[in-house]
Amino acid sequence: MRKLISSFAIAIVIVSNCLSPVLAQTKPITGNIKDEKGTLLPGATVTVKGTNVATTTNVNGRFSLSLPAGAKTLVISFVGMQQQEISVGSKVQFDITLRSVSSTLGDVVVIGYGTQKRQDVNGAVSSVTAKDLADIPQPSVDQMLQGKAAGVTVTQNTGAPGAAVSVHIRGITSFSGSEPLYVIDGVAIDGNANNGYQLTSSASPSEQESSPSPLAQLNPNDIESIDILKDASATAIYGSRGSNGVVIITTKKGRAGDAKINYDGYYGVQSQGKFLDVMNLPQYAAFENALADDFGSGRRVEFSNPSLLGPGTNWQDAIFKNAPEQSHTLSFSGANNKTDYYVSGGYFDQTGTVLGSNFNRYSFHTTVNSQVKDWFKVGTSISANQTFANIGLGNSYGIIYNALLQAPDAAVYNADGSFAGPAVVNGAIQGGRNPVQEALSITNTLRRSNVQGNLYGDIKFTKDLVLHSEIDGNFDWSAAKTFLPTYSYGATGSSAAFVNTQAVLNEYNASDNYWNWVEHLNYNHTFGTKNVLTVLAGHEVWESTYDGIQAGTKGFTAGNAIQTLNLGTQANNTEGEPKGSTVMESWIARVIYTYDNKYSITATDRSDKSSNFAPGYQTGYFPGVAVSWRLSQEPFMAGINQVVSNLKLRLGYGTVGNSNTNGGYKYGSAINPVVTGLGTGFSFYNFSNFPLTWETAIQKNLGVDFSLLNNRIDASFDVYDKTSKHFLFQNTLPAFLAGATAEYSNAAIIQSPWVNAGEIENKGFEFSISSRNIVSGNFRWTTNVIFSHYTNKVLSLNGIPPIIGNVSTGFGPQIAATQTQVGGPVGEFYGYKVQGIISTQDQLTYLATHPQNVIGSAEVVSSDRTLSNGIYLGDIEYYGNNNGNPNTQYALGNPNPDFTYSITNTFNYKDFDLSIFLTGSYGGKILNAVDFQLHGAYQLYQNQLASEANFWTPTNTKTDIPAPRSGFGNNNLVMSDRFLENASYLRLQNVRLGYNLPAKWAKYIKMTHLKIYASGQNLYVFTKYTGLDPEVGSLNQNPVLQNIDYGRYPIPRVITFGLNAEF
Amino acid sequence: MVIVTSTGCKKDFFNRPPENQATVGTYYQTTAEVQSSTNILYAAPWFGFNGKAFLAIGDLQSGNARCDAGTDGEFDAFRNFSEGNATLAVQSTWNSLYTVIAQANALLNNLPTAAPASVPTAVVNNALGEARLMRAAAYFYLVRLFGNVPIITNPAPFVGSFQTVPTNPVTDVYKFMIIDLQFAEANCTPGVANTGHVSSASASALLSKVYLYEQDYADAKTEAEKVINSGEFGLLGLDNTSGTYVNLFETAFNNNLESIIALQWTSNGGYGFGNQIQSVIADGENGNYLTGTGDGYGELGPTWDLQDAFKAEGDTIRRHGCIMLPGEYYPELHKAEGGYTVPLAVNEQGTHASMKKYVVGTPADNNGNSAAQATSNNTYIMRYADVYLIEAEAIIGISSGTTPGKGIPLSASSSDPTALKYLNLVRQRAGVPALTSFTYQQLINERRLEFAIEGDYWYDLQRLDGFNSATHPVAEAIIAAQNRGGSSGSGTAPLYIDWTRNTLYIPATDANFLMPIPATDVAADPALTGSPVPYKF
Repeated sequence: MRKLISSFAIAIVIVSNCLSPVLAQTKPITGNIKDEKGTLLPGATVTVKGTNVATTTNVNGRFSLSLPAGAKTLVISFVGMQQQEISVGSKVQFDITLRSVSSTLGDVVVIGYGTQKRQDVNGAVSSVTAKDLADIPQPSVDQMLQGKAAGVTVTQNTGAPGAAVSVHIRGITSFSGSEPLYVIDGVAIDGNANNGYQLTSSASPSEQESSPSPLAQLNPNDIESIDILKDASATAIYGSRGSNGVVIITTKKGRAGDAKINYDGYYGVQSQGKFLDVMNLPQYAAFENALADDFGSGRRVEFSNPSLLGPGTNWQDAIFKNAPEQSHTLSFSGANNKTDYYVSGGYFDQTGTVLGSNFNRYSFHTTVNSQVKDWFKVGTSISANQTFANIGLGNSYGIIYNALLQAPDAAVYNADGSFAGPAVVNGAIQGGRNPVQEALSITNTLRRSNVQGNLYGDIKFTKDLVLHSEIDGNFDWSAAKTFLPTYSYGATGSSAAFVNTQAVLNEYNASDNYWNWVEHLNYNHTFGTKNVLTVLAGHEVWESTYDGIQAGTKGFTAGNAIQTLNLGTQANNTEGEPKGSTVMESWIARVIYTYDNKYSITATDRSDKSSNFAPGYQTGYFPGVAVSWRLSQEPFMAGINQVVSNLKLRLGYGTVGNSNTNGGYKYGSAINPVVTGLGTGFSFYNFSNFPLTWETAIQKNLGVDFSLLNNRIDASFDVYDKTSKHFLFQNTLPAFLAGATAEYSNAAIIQSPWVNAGEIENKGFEFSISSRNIVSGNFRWTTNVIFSHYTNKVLSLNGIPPIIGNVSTGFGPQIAATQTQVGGPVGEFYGYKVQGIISTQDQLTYLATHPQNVIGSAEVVSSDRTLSNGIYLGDIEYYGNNNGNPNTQYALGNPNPDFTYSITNTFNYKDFDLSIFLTGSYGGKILNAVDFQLHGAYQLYQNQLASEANFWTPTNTKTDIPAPRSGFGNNNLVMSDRFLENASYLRLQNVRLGYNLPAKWAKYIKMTHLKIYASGQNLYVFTKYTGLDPEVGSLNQNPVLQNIDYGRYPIPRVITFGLNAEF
Repeated sequence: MVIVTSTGCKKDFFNRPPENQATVGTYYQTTAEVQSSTNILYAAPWFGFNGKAFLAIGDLQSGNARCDAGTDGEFDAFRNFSEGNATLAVQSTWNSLYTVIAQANALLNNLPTAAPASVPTAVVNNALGEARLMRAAAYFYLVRLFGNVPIITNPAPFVGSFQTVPTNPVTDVYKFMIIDLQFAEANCTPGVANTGHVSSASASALLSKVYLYEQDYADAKTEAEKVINSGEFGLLGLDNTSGTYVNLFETAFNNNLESIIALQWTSNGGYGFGNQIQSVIADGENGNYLTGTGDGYGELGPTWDLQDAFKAEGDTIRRHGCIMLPGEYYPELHKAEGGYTVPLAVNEQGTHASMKKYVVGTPADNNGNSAAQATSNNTYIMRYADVYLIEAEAIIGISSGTTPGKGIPLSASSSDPTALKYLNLVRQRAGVPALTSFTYQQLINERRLEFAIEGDYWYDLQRLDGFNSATHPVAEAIIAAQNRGGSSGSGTAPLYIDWTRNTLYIPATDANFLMPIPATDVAADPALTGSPVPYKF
């Protein structure tokens, strides 16, 4: 806040100058129009104020005009520039320089099936331009949105190359995916990573990590602008597809003027920023001895004197490494006569900071638009991309998790260079698998190829009436492969601890096809001088189909080198074919009426018919309306226009729908083929719910946009209420009705029914402020602040029981960790509440007569540490003791943050610019699920956090760490607030220093523009969280499993050096 | 273009049934489809129970097997009766058995209306019978392990209100199983158990066991005799000499003449579809050498108590098929290398032995049909030897004049010729001398040796004190006398003979004879921990 006040103060002190008035005369005039850099601007509009006389500049930025008698003032306008009024005076030749607007008022905003000037937009829309995204070394667009738009919460689920992030616009209102719809040049792409079959990241589910990002294939350098439709009055035009907001991505187009060649490139080094303090060998040995004593299983001979041991293996060092990344994009663009074009090619390559992972992308993009005839315009935009990801070991409970738990007495390699493993003593393997061996030997890859594009034609029937016809397509091919080789490794001098004689190959090739056909008729007319009417009526239909071939085999007699299906043992072949489709048909209508640039109303309606529902339940109607009032245009505001240059109130109301059921036909019951020893069997797949229908979200929004002090400060402030009714939800049934995951397998359990359940409300406010603190001369300073807050509350579950979120605990059982219930937020943590450690006989006496029960049975006071229904000194006492009946469980905290924020400061001094970008999240809890194992102290042979050594003993009572005891699910290892931590953080997300080579020097090397920069990404995280990274999002975008840390791939620290050159 | 769009899409355009799955409306249309509809009930749904809980409960808890404390989180609690409602194997047991029930219910609720008249009624009823038998088999485990449990036949009414579903009393669950099994007995095709599908006599066999547990000895005897008289089954190695007791547990002998009800695994479906037992208990020594598939965790070893029990009986055939001792030779393992000789240092879980039963070796030993954590050998739910011993027990039960609620005294003895005949057939195959009279204690010991490491002994101990008994003095006395210790000081002398037995006695209490319902389901339905409510038949 202090920063904000100071920027106001600075802004008030500095007042800019206006041009002095000159006398008027009548004559023909000519001139040229440039931007601040001196680049001539073709297509700028020159109007004689108060008349219809106007012209535009030609490709050389020149104009000529015959001034009618009495003309006194020229109005010069150009998109992205401040409009200027120039007194004509006696001049006949004008050299006009336009200034770019930091205010985005003049920008064109894409609002879905059309565009609007920002000043006319009635709904809640945030925009991000290419400038905001430039030079941020992120591989994917969704990651770049973090901290760039108010109301948009972006969390990286993982730092794994190419993996999905969670993008939530104004909180979570839906269970069947809360990710927005992305529309890339008209091609709609569902943000829900789990929705398209081709996105499954691995051919073998057990190796699957976080789903890959649906947007990982798009080269961020090709993006011109991103417009985020946030409230329903804006998204209603997308009807059922806009319930979670819509992110419209527009790619670059050629601009009139000299053709340009652009090169963007960077090279960077990523590193792991934080390591956990796990036990070294002496600490581990001492701890294992203590555990062995406790469990009565006898100390290991080699640990008889821990202090004599060396430090042992640091497994985090063994799996984390510094890794390079690089990106190169070359583009060519231009426009002449009636055609513009943009052509680009890009290459991105990222090696993972975790052993065995990497990602690369080749991308090509072309956009061409042409005014073929006066009455006909045609255009196309086509992208072709290929990404390749080496996923390595699965993410959750994958390599990082294994490395943290791996005992430090095990070596990575033997002296002869072979992979080391634990020794085998008396038939018992003295430790776990070697994570380095696993990361390096297992193949787990995903190659995705994609072609997407659109083709449109605009037929102009009259000046006002245009028919827009468009066909969009998105075609994906993916090939995933996992190969487990044969291996044999162990400690020198011991028999091999781990042997596999049967190699296993699984492959999964899939294709996904989407086409969309849109027709819309647009009518735009100005009645008189003040009434502007825009009407749109349209029809849209799309179909999405997928089809894949899964195949696997085992037993490669020819060895591990050639990993193809034909080399396996034929008797072991398996196959499968996932296949399905969804279609939707929609009717669209929109009317926008504006009076005198002051009052405006937008009304939309859309009907959607979806194949995801049964006949009779397929159609939904989604109306929306928004009004705005530009107070600053009112005469009574004229007096303070110097201070308040723009002031607009917006009010919106709308409904949107959601039909996402993670695949169609959830209203009926399917029967699924499965393999059995008796041949192919058929398992009942899911419960039906015939009346399943649309989820509806009702959204209300009140917003104000204002600009102060001659646009030195631009701000938007919105409050909203977003309530979803009958939300679509797969209601998890208890095991006794449907079966449930057992021994990590969910084969043959019956999928719970999809239901229309209850009501969730998100209330919130958000603002963005952009302040140009210093604009004078050589030094400029701009500050952008973005702030978002929402509260999420379940209003009703329509009578269904609370929704339980079960968390896997690695090698332990599932634990019910969250409970979503009426009155609370989605995914609220739920469990027992720690009272303290039992350290007195009095406490034991009390517990003997008032037994605690957190394990399903009354716990008996016993000093036998191997009795998992026993309780004794050093164990945890919980609140809510019910005398032998289960202890009361409590709501333990909200995974949603109180607010998220970002602050960007940009400084320009002469040819240098520096930007510092901070993002943060305040409040909210995180469940450190890794600690169930890493702080569990229940089992021999696995490493622990160094802090675990401070466990309770009769002589060490000043601690909150309970004494060890064997067996998972014992009194101390149940879901409790012991494993919850504060999730607040402030991340120094990006610091970037750039230098623009002066134009006169650039010219010598045939360049019009050259910039070099150094950028540091994710430089530091200020947090009290003890895990690797507090930003964990929701597990595979599941809203009831938010902020649960499974030891996922942490976000790396990246230092890059980059170059932008324009020829 | 405007004209085209104004007409809208046809109705069929929006009809998108699954494209790679059948649906309830399209399946069950032919005889072959109805026949294969029950395959699922023999495999995947049982996986979570079969893998670890099956032995953790049946053999570890009963004192046949041991594991060291703190070495395996899953088995740990079962070594000393301390499993809680968050213990994974407890959760897996409940979840898996109810998955069997859910699949059986789905079949029972959909097949009768979906099958057209063109499918013969007998075919439909046979499938319904199989489903009801498998549902009863799952309930039989559930009721023995958890006591009062909810009886579910149709989940539909509870989909939106499951938080108030109560449990039903043990006696009602037994009554329910008997109704199911009587239906199966009446409707399943006779004589087909060697195909892997259960037959009418399979239902009789399970029914006899259920009656035996209920202490309805007369009915148990009647049902056991139905099975014997059906002539469908025999003992491998006695009635058919193509194999021996040891072969019973090998892949090549799936669905042999002794197999009454067996789970039908495949190595070709990946995790969740194959038999996991080998990977769990095969000796980890020599680095997964036995399995050759990167698994073999040796999580259990045979207790001294079990080893001594074999020794005391002079029982080498069954011991050889159940437990591997140092230096012993198994030609069926690592056939290609001329067989497998157990290393002298073998010492699974400190027992100087390791497990053999259900250990089938490498993919090569199984004609390629084994994979990591997925072998394709069957798991027995019931085999024919059980029927002989049930017949003998029913006879001694009748003669001992026991009243329900109190078990047959261990000292009760019988020299009934019929009982002796069947008991001695089992002994004859095992190569131990025939008896001229026997006590109930001897019979229970016979069961233990015959079915060791087949997940059964715990239930025998549990019922010694009578049907549905809240107290277990007899069983507790047996458990209290079992040495469950390992050994120490081994490994340096030649032949690894310098070890000493440790003693470890772990007494059980009455509360240990039932497991708590898993916390995850109690969280969803708190009524599960309330009083049971009579079931409305």
